[in-house]
Amino acid sequence: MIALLWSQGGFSAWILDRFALWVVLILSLTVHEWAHAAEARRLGDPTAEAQGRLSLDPLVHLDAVGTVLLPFLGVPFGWAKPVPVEPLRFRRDVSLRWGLLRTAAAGPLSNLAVAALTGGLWWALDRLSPGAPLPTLLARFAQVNLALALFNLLPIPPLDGSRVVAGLLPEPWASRYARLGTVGTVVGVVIVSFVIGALRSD
Amino acid sequence: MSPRARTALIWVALLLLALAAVSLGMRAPGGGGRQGAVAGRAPAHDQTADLYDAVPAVGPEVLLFSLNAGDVIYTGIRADGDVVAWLQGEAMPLRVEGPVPSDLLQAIQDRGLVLQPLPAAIDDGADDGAYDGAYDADGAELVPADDPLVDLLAIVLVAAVLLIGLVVWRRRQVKAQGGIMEMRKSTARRLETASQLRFDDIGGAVEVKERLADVIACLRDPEGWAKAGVRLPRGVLLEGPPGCGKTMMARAVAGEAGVPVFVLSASELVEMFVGVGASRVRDMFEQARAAAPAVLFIDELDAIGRRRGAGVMSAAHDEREQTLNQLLVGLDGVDAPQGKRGHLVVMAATNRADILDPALLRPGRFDIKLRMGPPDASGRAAVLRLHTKGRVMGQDVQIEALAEQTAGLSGAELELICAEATLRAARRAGGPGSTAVVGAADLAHGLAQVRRPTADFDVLDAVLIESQGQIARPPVPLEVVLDLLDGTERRGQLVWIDASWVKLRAPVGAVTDGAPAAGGATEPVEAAILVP
Repeated sequence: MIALLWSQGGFSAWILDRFALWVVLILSLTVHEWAHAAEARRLGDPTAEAQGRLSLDPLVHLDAVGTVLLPFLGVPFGWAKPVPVEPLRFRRDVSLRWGLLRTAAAGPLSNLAVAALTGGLWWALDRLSPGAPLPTLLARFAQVNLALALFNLLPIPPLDGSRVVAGLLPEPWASRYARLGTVGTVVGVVIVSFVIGALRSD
Repeated sequence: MSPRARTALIWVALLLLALAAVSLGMRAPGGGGRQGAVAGRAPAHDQTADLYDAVPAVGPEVLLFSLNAGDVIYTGIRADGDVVAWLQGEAMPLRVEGPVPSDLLQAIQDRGLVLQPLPAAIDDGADDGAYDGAYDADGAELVPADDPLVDLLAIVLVAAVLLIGLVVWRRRQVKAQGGIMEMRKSTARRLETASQLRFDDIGGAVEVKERLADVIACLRDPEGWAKAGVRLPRGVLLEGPPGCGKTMMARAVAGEAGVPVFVLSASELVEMFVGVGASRVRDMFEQARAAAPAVLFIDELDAIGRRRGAGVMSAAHDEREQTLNQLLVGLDGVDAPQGKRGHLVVMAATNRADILDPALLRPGRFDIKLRMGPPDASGRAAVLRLHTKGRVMGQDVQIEALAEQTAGLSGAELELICAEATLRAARRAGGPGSTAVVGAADLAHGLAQVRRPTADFDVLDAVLIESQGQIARPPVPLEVVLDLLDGTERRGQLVWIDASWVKLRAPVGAVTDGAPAAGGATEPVEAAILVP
């Protein structure tokens, strides 16, 4: 099977492509986790810093399965070790809800920033030398970071988006939302997207 | 290297690696299918034209080239003489049908390339077959997957599915290895027949052994005894101060009967969480019943057997009471018809029989109640002989004399004397591996290591005060009159041995009501009322 793929000539290219994607993913996840830690630190919670997570070193944030194994097996997706946040240690002028919202949003927003930066660079460089490796890599960065940001902003509980939503909702609704759990929100998101899709197709 | 420098190094290395991978991937044959994220539509063309192939002027090796004609980018690759090209990011033969747009022609010429008519053979067979379908007969559409938004959507969807799978998987994993479920298992250890003690391994305690012989007989042939109409003994409570062989006795009963014994300490049944102890008791009885006939030995029963309704801490208390209730149910054995398949004897040990719940002690539960007190002179001699067996003893050692000197000591303390003596002898003989001869002086040294309750333990009247509570050491010698269970009365001075062991120093001739002489009363007699 592999020999067949090889003879067709697509396999090595596929592997290399996969590897590049993997590296991009690791670096992007690192930025993401670092942003959580940095924002928590800015708001006064030193928990993550005390555990050495306030670092751009990918090795600190690596998760054996989520960051190494799955992406390298070709799954275009991954996760890192979550950064611990203790809202009770925020500065006194930061409310718990607002602080949690900000630390949760910091990750996806950092990915959006990276996506914008690399996308812009790609746009500029690709004009100069179209199809060169560097712009291609930059495009990959933009793509992966955009995907990470959007995915993490999904309002499904383990994801950052759920914490942002919980922070935005007024109190009785926030706790109701928290009780929905993973399955409940997935069902909700699917229903909402179907409704939007139906409305748009009309 | 500072952490910052290390981080920077890792980033640079990873970025360079990725860059290398990308550029290599582009050069690899057939690669780069999705490399360029260039969006756009196929150029307009008409049907009437010839086919052209862009052939670079360089040799037949792998070569990458790209054209920039107006705002449409054409990138091509030439490998092994066949020309495959990306058009707007998608790999395909660069087929230009119809009149070549002048801007494209100009760009091709500017790069030193020439356009040639494409032979039909190359068009059909020699091209990379995988991409033939990318460009249909009309040439109107490219592969739809080229749209990066579609890619993005696919990634997000796949990720969502994976995430849900992960959550479910984790949850199931937690359940399976289940901290909670595991906790409910009994921690009783099963000791097989081979590893058990026999009565011979326990010195002294002759009366207890005699009483237990019945229990052993019932364990050996439960069905036979049940047929004879005997109510099989279910529970044996061994009570006595620490170190007097209660645990050993339980193992010896199982050993003599040739049945497995399950050993656990009652404190293992006590947990923070309500219900855990009770389920452990259930599991413990299930395990033991499955192996019946068997002995289930619960050490330090007072940890859960404390009188219910006492104590202040209500939360911890609930858990203990539930555990105790479950234990009572297990002892009743309503869930297992006794004498049917096998017989389970529950033995328990405690040194605080006075605080046990009365329900534990009623007939049908721990109805055989045996006191294992400190051994008497002959018992001590037996214990000392056991513990000096296999050791070389000096000529001057007299076990009987030592037994006389060690009145009131428990079996464990006697063992300690022997161990200390052997250690001293071995040290004198030159350390490990040497043949140590234990002399009388060594044993005297060992004796000095242990506390001795009272020098004249054995010469005291062997009246056991069965106390309902712990007996504090009286500040002054107490002269008491005892009403004994056999209807006699005895007068004397109390000698405090330990918290549950009091002896009577009887004045000679003080016996009233014509009771047997004090010197003849070798058996412990239970006293009902203690009259100060």
